[in-house]
Amino acid sequence: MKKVLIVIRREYLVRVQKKTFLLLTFGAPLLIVGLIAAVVALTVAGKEEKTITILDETALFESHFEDGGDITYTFKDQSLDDALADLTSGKTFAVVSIPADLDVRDPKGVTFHQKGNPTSSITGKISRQMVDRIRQLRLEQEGIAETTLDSLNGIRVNLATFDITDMGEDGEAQQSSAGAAQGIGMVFAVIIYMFIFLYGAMVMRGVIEEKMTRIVEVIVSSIKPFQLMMGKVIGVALVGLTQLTLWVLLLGALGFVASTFLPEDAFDAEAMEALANTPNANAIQASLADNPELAQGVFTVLNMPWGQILLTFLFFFVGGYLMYGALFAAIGSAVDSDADSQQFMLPITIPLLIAYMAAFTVVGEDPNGPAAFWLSMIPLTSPIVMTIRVPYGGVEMWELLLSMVLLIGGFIGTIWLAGRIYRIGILMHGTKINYRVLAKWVKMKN
Amino acid sequence: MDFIQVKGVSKAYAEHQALRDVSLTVPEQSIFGLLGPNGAGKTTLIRIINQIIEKDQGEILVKGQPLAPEHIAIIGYLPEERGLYKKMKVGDQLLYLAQLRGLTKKQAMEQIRYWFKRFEIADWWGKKVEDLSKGMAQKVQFISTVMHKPKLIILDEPFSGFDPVNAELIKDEILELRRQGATIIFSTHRMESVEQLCDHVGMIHKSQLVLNGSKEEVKKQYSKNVFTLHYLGEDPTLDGIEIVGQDSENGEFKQAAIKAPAGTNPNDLLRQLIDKVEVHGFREEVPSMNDIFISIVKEDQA
Repeated sequence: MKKVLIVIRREYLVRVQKKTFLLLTFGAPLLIVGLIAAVVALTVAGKEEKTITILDETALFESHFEDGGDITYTFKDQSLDDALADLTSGKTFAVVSIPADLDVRDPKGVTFHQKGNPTSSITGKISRQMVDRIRQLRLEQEGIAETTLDSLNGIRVNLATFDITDMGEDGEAQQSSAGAAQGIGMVFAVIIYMFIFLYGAMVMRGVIEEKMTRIVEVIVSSIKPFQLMMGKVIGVALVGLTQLTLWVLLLGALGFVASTFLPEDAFDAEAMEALANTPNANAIQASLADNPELAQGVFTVLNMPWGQILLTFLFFFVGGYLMYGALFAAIGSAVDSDADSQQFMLPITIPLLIAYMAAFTVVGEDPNGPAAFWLSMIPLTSPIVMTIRVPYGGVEMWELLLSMVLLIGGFIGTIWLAGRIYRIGILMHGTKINYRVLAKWVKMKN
Repeated sequence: MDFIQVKGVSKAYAEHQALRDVSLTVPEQSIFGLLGPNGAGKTTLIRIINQIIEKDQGEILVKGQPLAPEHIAIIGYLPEERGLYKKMKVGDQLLYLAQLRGLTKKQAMEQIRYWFKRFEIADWWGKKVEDLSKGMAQKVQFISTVMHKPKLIILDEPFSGFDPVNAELIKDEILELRRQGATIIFSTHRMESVEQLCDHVGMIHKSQLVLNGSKEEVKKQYSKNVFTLHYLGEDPTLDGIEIVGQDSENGEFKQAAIKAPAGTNPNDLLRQLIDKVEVHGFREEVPSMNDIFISIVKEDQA
């Protein structure tokens, strides 16, 4: 056991001290944050003050246009030609001309002039402000109070969805939100999928290196091949966990730093724009209390059984990796070079791909259907599928426990199998390997 | 006292029998040459003693005790196919291998320093193996084999691939380690190093043991009882003695190779010869290990 720790230590330190590890660990979050910062900076930089000249011959709109963000509206009493001359000389950014005979019942004939093609966000703002004013005029004409209309607009039937699998301690069902659940499950499933491939391949390359440099015979004269294999698998897992933790911490820290340093209105402007561009702008601008749907989403995320979700994620993350990591080690031991490993990758790739595809199709559509159930029981697919199912809720405790037990059984089985192949494979050179040979190795006495 | 006793060990792989009922003994503090053509089963036996693979049948005793995992700490092993982690520093690598053999970090550091000084390579600690020449890497591999002061050192084809300077260095170290009390087993099919170093030998041919004992015993066993005689006078004629080669015009003396019956005492033979001829030289033709090796392999082919 002590010797396994020595192996784990070496496998861990050798990889963590590598330049590529440092580069990837610290570079990737910086790159991500840098890209976001660059995009934000470009957006902010692009926001020069724009003056839009409005030629309002109806005199109905003046003082009903609100300057907002980077746009200032100036109402001028000049001819369209003069205004266009200003536009050409760059004195103004755009010109809006509202004809005197504008019919509020059928508003037509308003023109917009700009150098180049106008963006929909600007024309949208102008037309929305005009619509608001015209509606106001129409309400006056029809004799309807604005408050009446608002109250009519406010009618909404909101279905608050409840998940009754996990009754809270107070006997109340947790509120659920399918969208939030799906998002969280997907993120975790993608992390597991990537981790297995990235770090599994790392285990495999490590085994091939030991075999190719022939150091392995010296090592297995000191330590059992199985111990060496497990030491490597665990050491690499710790490298992955370190990287993951550092990424989470770094992204958090960088996000914090970025939010302090960037001009405050960089985010505000963006958020405003997003809001302004939604059709139901009023409703979203309203507070969360007035908007049960959004409130429910936020509420659900906060109220999800986070403890359970995170624990399940960690369990299936580690269990799935150990199982596949051992298989990667077995493949590495059987082949003589990286190139030869391709032919044996299929049994690893297929179940992972099935789980991954299912995650975005059958499981997402019916997280508690038969396909989702069975895929979350089979150890080769359960790490990904179960991680997706749990945030949705509806997974009975016995299902979860059964799946965990099966996964433990599964990884003990695969590790045993991998160990059998590994102990023979590492000492074999220049033999032609196929599945029949591997099967023979499994049965062979030591 | 025998350090290693191999009793009736057999090992079969899927397709072929690698060892068949092999028994041999390695005396303590001997340098034991494990001989045999390529593919005879030497490496299999060595791997079994190193507990890398398991025997199918038989027994292996280390100083009378059955071979067990504890023995890993007292065995040093240099495999035929040897290597090091390319990207690891020399010092870290030796430290790692020593710790796997059961040394504490402190003990390992002491030993590594001792060997670095001995081989005059003190500045290698931080060097990566990939930056070492082949000869330099071989020194590091040798250190890794002996740094935990093993009582039994097993070297599989130690001189293959070593350059002559290193081979000489390793030879000296082997002798020195033996003087300090270690038992050394080395497998080889190069007989000149056996003549130079070994005091005991064992030979495996086609999975079976065909030879085991001290070098003298073995040579006696394979002696053809041929003596070279330098003499003057009539050709010697004695009962049961045969002249198998003669070169009468070789300088001032005549020379003859005479074959005596098995078990003949050279003193008796010489006494008889003195009566017949004027003896100027008398020498027993002892077979070289090379002759023995070849005769065994050829005998089998015939």
